[in-house]
Amino acid sequence: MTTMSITVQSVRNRIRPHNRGSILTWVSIGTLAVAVLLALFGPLLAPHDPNQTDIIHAYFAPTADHWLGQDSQGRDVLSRLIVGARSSMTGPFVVVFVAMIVGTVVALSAAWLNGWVDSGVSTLTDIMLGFPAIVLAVLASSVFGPGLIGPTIALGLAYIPTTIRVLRSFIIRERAKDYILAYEVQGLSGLLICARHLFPNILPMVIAQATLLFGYAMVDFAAISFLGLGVQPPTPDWGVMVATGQRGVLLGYPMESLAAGACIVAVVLAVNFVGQRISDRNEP
Amino acid sequence: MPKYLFQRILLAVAALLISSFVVYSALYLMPGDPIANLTGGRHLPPEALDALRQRYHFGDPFLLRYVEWLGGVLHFDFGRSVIFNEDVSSIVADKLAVTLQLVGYAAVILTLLGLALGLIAGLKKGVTDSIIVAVTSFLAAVPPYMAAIVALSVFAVSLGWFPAIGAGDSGTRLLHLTLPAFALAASSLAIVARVTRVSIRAESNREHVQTAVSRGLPRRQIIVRHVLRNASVPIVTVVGVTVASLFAVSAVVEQAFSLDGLGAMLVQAALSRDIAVVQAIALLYVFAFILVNTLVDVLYAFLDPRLRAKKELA
Repeated sequence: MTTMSITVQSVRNRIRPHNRGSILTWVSIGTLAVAVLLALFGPLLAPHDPNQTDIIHAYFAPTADHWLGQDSQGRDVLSRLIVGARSSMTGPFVVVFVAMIVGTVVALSAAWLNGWVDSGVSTLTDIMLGFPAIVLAVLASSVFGPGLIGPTIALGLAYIPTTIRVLRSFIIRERAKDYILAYEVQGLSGLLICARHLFPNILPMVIAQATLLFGYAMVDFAAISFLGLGVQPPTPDWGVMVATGQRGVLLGYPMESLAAGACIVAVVLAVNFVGQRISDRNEP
Repeated sequence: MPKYLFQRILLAVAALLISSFVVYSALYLMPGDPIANLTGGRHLPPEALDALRQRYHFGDPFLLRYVEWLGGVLHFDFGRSVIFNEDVSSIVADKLAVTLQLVGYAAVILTLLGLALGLIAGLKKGVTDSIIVAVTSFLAAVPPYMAAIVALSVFAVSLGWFPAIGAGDSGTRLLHLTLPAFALAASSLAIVARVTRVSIRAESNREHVQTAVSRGLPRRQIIVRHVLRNASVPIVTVVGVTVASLFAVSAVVEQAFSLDGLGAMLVQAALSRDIAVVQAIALLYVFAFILVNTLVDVLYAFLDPRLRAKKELA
């Protein structure tokens, strides 16, 4: 029975061609692949030590040895970007992972149990959505002190209601389908149907949602680091680099800030695009 | 109508209560003694410590303390800042003006520009539309700090058209706030433009609009009376939601342009663990967010009588 419902879905995907924008899809996937590689192996790939200062060469323009020039301390901007990929993406990854697990479990339970559980969860998410993610993160970092712990907890909490809301509406639609009813008639337990049959069918939507959330999380994390409440300098991190490069911007050397910002924008654009594609393909 | 209004306001009040509780309990989630946290590790004379204990009612149970704190907040009494040794409400009041001006300015920009771009893209097909779609897709992904850095680097440093830092005095305020407001509005106006474009497209294809076209009604009249009126609900939603989110994001922009507003204060307070100030400003942001969202929801009912009827039945 499971295989049947899955084949139905894949046939539907094949019927709808998605040729338009396929180049953009591959560019996005390529960007993400590079970003993941840098996050995994960044320290091995960096041409220079990211924390090696060289004050005499502060704000030097790009040369053959330093492709993106040097920052206010004379550190190699490219190396800092490469090594910073890991710190810039670890936080968002943890946040999305936690938010997706909690969000999926709660959304499944709410949609399955219905009744007061569902209306309770809906009201609670409506209320929690009233709390802007950045404010929660600032609050958390004043509680836990600057660093990654506070923002990770805060953003994890802040993204759960969004996840629940999106997945819940999707699960309710899926739950109304005949194959679920067939299992119910056969007397399978709700837990088993949810775990073995409902979940695999909403998995693409969960992945799409996770991908989109990752983009938001990355922007918010960098914002927290930009404010000086997240990752602390001199740790190489894109958000931190946008902030520390700001003095350079005012002096007319915007390379560090712009390069770090461009990395964030590139990854976010790529992630959004891929996430959008996945959800387009699976939208009934 | 009254029932819908009542429900909406009830939800807003519940949201405010819960967020105020979250903001309040943050102080007690901090590892260590709340008194030590309040003083931020500074050594105060015993009388001052006693005064603090009395002020925060540390003898009382937690919930009672929360209710007392909330009672104070309702009278704009947010406690005292240990860093500035001044009432939090007076510190916050000083900073509020800059933030409100910045957010207001950005709201005007995003509404006017977002609507204009969306209208143009929605009504004109072809190259103009494609360009606007491409630009707005890109802008929507640009975070405010990035917009701020680019704006600073291009318009303040290279071209020198605008001042780079500070909010200026009352005479030069508008000029000083122009770059920050654009940086703050950039990604939101892209979202507003895209939603406007899509809803105008959707409405233009509907039967009653096509009928109006075939009857030879003037184009302007068709757009204003038949397209825009129906497209207004999603447009108002997206404008409302983005304006509400501007408050929290303004902190980042204030930091980038060294504006002396609430956001900069919030960051400074968070770094120095001046909890009373953090609580007050966080609460203000949440309040502004919930207030704007509630206003938008109420506005729906006025904009779309069908919605009102449906809500009434429900």
